[in-house]
Amino acid sequence: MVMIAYYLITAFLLALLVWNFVREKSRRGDLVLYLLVILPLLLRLLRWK
Amino acid sequence: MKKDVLVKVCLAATFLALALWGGLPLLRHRHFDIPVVKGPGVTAVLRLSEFSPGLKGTAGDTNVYVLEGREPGGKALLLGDTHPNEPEGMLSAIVVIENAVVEKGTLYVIPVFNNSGSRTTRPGDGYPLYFDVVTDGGRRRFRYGNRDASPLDQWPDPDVYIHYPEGQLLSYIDVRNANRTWPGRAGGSLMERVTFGAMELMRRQKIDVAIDVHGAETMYPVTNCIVAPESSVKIATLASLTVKAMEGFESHVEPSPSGFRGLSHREIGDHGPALPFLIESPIPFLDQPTGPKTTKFLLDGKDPFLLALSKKKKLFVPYDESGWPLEKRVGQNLSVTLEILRQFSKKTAGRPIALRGVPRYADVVKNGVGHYLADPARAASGGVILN
Repeated sequence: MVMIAYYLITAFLLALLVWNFVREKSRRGDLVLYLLVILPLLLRLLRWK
Repeated sequence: MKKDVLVKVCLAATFLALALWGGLPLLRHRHFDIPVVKGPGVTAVLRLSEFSPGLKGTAGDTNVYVLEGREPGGKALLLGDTHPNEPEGMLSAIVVIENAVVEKGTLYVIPVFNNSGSRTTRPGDGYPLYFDVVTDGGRRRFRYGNRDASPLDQWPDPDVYIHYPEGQLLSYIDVRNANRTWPGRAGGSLMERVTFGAMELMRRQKIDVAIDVHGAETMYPVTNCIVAPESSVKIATLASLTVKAMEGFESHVEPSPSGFRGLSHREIGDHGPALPFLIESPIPFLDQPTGPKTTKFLLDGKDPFLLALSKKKKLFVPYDESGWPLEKRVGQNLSVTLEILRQFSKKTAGRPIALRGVPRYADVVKNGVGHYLADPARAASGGVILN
């Protein structure tokens, strides 16, 4: 149950970050920071082993 | 394509490339199997999931080697890689599997107890992913793992780990530590299912002696020792005195604290029939104030910073220019294991456990660990089991 909740939270945060990444127009530093945070969340959600 | 879209695509591609570059070696390590040759004494190979069905198909499942003697007697269980960053336990277990012939009683050996932990690494510590041991037939490669199970297999960690069944509050990280989740439970976390499997094995097979083989830092007081609870302490003391007198190395006895839960040397005896023992040999590689964590250092245990600390009497073991090589660590483990089994057999009428073919401390120090490892390329058909 806790694990399912954590996956839902991960998916929610990932969606927010991807949305922000897409909307960002000019600040390249922010784009890099978004990608830095997106990557581990994405890997967790994909469950690559 | 607009310029800002192009920048985003390039950045995302760069990050993906970096992730692949960093991730592929970890992926290969996770799927690298260690071949173990079935020695002359191996009579069956089981899976731990036969005792804990919740492990079936998971990274927690692992091989259990059975060495049944010609004559009946007592039964013992030997565990290696409870902490997969302490490889002397796994190597000691493999030396037993590939060399031992049991004459009386039965021996169960699990060389890679925390299979999940052995397929990951410690983030940020620069651990090597593999190490090679030179054998008479060439080099044999082994995975070098982490102390705890992989978060790919058991996730998320709780804020506080509540031990089952005692309810003691432990560090969150220990929920993935196979030596904090004893006695485990059938439907618990992955590591609880692993330790539950071993407990079920001990209960169903009526195991008399359980030996969990570890390594510990030279700056940690519980090193170079046999940890034993009240029920095992007499045999541990006799084993300790005998190896010191007969083989010339120290392995003192540490009492198992009754108030610290989840450890094999405490819970195995409290929840099952076996007398538990936990063996620690010193592994300098695990100490913090050292030089780079190289494979060479892992094998020879030589480090100038530890040597300087030794001169200031900051270590709990003797340490000089010769370091603390793998041969000494594995040799100690094997001699102490054999001595525990011998002392148990002497003290317990009708339950002898006798084996031959296993080298002792002096043999391993003289000939090297590799001399006692078989060549998988020369094994008979079906004689190699992947772990």
